[in-house]
Amino acid sequence: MILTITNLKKYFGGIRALDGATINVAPGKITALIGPNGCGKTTLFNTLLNLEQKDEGTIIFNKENISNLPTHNIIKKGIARTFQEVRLFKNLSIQEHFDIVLNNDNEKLFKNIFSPARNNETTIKKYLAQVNLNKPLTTYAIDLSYGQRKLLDLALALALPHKILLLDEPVAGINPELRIIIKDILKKLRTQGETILLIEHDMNFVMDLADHIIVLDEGKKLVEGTPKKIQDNPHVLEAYLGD
Amino acid sequence: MILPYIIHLLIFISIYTILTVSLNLTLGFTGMLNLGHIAFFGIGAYTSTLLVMNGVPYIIAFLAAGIIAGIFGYLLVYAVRKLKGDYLALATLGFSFVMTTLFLNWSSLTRGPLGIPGIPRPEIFGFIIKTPPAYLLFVAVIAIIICIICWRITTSSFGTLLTAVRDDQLGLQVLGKNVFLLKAKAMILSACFAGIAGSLFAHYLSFIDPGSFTLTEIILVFTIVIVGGIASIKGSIIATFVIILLPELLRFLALPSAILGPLRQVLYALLLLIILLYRPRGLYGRIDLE
Repeated sequence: MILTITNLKKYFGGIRALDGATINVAPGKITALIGPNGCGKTTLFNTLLNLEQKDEGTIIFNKENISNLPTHNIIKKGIARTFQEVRLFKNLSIQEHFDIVLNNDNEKLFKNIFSPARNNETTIKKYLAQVNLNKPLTTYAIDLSYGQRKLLDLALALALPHKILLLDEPVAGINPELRIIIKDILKKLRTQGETILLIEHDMNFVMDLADHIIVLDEGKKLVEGTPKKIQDNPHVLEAYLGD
Repeated sequence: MILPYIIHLLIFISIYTILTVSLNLTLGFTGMLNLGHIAFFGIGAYTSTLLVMNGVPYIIAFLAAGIIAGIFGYLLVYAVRKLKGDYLALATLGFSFVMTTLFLNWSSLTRGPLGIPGIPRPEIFGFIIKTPPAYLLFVAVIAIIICIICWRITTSSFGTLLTAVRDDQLGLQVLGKNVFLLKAKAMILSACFAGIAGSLFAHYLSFIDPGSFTLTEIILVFTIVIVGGIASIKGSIIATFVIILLPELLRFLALPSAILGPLRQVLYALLLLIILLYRPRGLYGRIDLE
């Protein structure tokens, strides 16, 4: 397993967002995390990256305990993430977005004063081509459509050195045509050996794409298995539709 | 008669250019609503003055002014690391008030409200920068160097990261960047330059007192940055010229000095209001003040 989360707990006051969630993610596969609204899917991503501090639990990534590391160090261990509502920088161009991700020396103040360096366009265009985004590199994030922003967000996650991709609702709020494009991109990434853990509400999308599905309910794992097994599970139907 | 007056104004413009361009590093480029900048100016002024008046060579006092202000910059950014927006503004304003109170009440060191007179002109390697034209040259060279450094930073990949900090800190964290360290570097550098401006200010006027580092000065420096434009070095430089020179026109009106001072403040406030209402991005700013 590349990622093992054990007994993860996160409470917001009296609300149990995560109540002992335990999940494993196998390498080279697409694992989907599903469940009704408020079952703790996004909280799991947030606590995994220490964007929200967990109350209890252990997170082992690539045989290393990353439970208490700061977010930027967890990312540097090889985890890339996208958000349901994309978090791009409105005053930066596409090229500058990639500069953040690709330039290893950009945090060094003095080096940047004396020898500022930029990434070459060929590398950036390679990542944009991977997600079928064809826009001039000088385009500002604020000038992109919602779907294009989703694609840029995905391209940035791909450009970030990583061993696993966490995708939070990659097709939420986008048109059916782009949905198909993103599904094809993810299938292609799987053939390239990418490990993907994704959250998605669109069941058709998930059933067609995922190798393995984990169902969360009330902050803990309800059931897991192949798409076929999940589809036929009465507990899953109950969690989604009620009694 | 007019030439010494022009030189005097240009010296002030150079000092305030350092102050505003360095404030723009934190306020404009990094998006930290930093109202503590004037405290760094005061720390630099007092550090340099006290060291020189105790026999330390000016060049060391000048560097110490920047370093000590930079250390205070780090302490401030560390203390307010979990704050943003209005809360950050209030906390940094509080820091300014604390420093002014310290300058005012630590009489054994700062002579309190009496101020410190007789601050000598800088002496560098045996050469005393005595005349106003020589001082102008000295100050202008330092101001130009600092502007170039700030311009290089803000147009580099590091500057891109500062813009990203301003736009979305959480988004930047998830791209693997240490947001606190970036903010700390910006604040330390900004404070360091403000400290240097303080040293230049003290050794030019040859007198400092706590009154030079109060809320009035914060408003002046903020007005310049906002008029010039958030995240614009060119804007800060041009606005410094405009705002330092504009009240000077009042001198040509035959008004008593009791009216002249408050009128100057009214002029700043009016200018700030006009800019915020009709040109919220300032003269050259690319973004709105949030």
